[in-house]
Amino acid sequence: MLRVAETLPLPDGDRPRADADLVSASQADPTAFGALYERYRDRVFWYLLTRTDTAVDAEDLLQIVFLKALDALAQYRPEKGPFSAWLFGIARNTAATFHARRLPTVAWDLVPEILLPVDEHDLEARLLRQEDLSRLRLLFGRLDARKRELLVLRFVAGLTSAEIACMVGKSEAATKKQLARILHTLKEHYHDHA
Amino acid sequence: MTMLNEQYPDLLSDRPDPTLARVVADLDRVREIATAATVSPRRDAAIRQALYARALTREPSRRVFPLHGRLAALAAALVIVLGGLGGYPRSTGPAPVSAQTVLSRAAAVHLVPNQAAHLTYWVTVTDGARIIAMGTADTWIQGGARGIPMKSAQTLSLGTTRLSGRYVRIGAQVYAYNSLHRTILVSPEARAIPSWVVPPNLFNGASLAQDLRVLAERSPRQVQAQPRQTLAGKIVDVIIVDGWMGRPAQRTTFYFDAQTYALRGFDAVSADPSYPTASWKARLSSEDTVAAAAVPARTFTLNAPVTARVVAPAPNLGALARTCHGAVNVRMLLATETRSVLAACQITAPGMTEVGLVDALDAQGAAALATAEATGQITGTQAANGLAALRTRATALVLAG
Repeated sequence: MLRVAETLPLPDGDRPRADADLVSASQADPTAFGALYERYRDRVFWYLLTRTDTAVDAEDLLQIVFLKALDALAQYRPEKGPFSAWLFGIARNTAATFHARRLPTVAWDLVPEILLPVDEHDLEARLLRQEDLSRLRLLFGRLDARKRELLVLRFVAGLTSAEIACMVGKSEAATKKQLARILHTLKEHYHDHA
Repeated sequence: MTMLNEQYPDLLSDRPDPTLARVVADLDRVREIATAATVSPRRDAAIRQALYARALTREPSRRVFPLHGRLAALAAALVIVLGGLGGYPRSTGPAPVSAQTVLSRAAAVHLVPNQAAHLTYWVTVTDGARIIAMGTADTWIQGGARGIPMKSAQTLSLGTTRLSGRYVRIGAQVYAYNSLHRTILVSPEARAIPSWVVPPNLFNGASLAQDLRVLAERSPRQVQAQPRQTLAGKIVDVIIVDGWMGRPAQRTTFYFDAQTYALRGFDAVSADPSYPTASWKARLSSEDTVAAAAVPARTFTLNAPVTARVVAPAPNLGALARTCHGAVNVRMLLATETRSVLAACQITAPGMTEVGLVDALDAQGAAALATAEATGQITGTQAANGLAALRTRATALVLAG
């Protein structure tokens, strides 16, 4: 059984602190890293779910991502970009390694089955929703991996264009333009399927 | 402007485009679905525990030593190449002596009184099939009148890579110089967590064995003895350490001479394909003993250029509880509090001033810098600059809200 003292403290949810403050605190005292884990756990988990077959795999990767982040926190430089971009960069590399070494044939999926709603009391809505999304899934599957990743980062991980730009090493304007082009492609296909 | 426009201003313009809005709306619905998934509470607790355990092994960051994490990760994995010189270990059979026995004997190795040992290791670092760095580790260990090792110097020369560095250890005090970054590290706490760049005693068999023996006592499953092997013609006791320095994916194999208990080498590799790290290989290539009086001058000083910069020691957070009369939980304060450290301290120590609190946080680092200057490890200017940087850090910490 875990003792409270052996787990990272839960952060105070009353007043959000800037990432930079939490990073500084964690660099001064690594045991304060729990606040950053708490802040980014879900978004990183959602992102990893799109890169794995099962929630268990995503949880495994989640642990590796945050351990790596903790190990490398001393190297993080705020002037090179936001913490979120740095962290998702680690998540991205970790997922890539996972695929390269374990599951090289697994395809990306914007809406993995494990994410679909399972509320049995609202079966009709669930089926409608899946049908709606099936078109998107079909179109999504036709995009190349790089474009799919951009959409996942923007819509599932909730990163801003600026954060994505920093993560992938491009300018914000270029990233916005690329996202706009992807959406335009999807839009054209929506027309085709209408 | 719709909610969708507000949420995705970078993707939707003010000019209505129903089809594009529909695409974005569908993608946004994906987000809604995704955010319904959560990490299982049990796994969440396990991850928190793993992070906390890892955090306890980390020391506060030393920002000018960017190799810290990378090298520390590498450090857990040494190995080498050197076909003829180091060779690969061959098993010789018999049941292993226990890890505790081997490490106790290796930790108890003494020098001849007033003598110094000089050992050189070949070192190779690889990343899969590619050699990242190759060079030597040059180690001097000097004993006192009773032969107990009193000081050591370790110089890792791996070309212009970030791995190159020099360490001097005098008693519990460790100093490091990184030639690539031209920085000096004065680390009073290094003995407890010898993880920056590479451990300062990585090539000091007796000191290393002491650390491993402590680890074996705390966590016997992490430290295992293997059957004796032959390594470059010498019979060696083999100790395997999993997760050394808090890295669960790494396996490090140490080879201690079965007769002299000198460290003859080590190999370190990642045991987890999903968490690859560089592999190291080190093998003893020469060993010599000289009279203490014959040790070259300045063998046990850093000899860093006068232009090298001293990295400010971290403020001593342990002094907070004492200075503020025990009521300040630093960890929680840093993680969650909204008021400044000084304001929090003044709740229980009303007379506390900014200068007073900074002085308390600085004391340990200032003493370390003074000792470093007094023993010739750094110059007066370097000490003064280091102290100024330390005070800046402490002041920022004290006033941060």
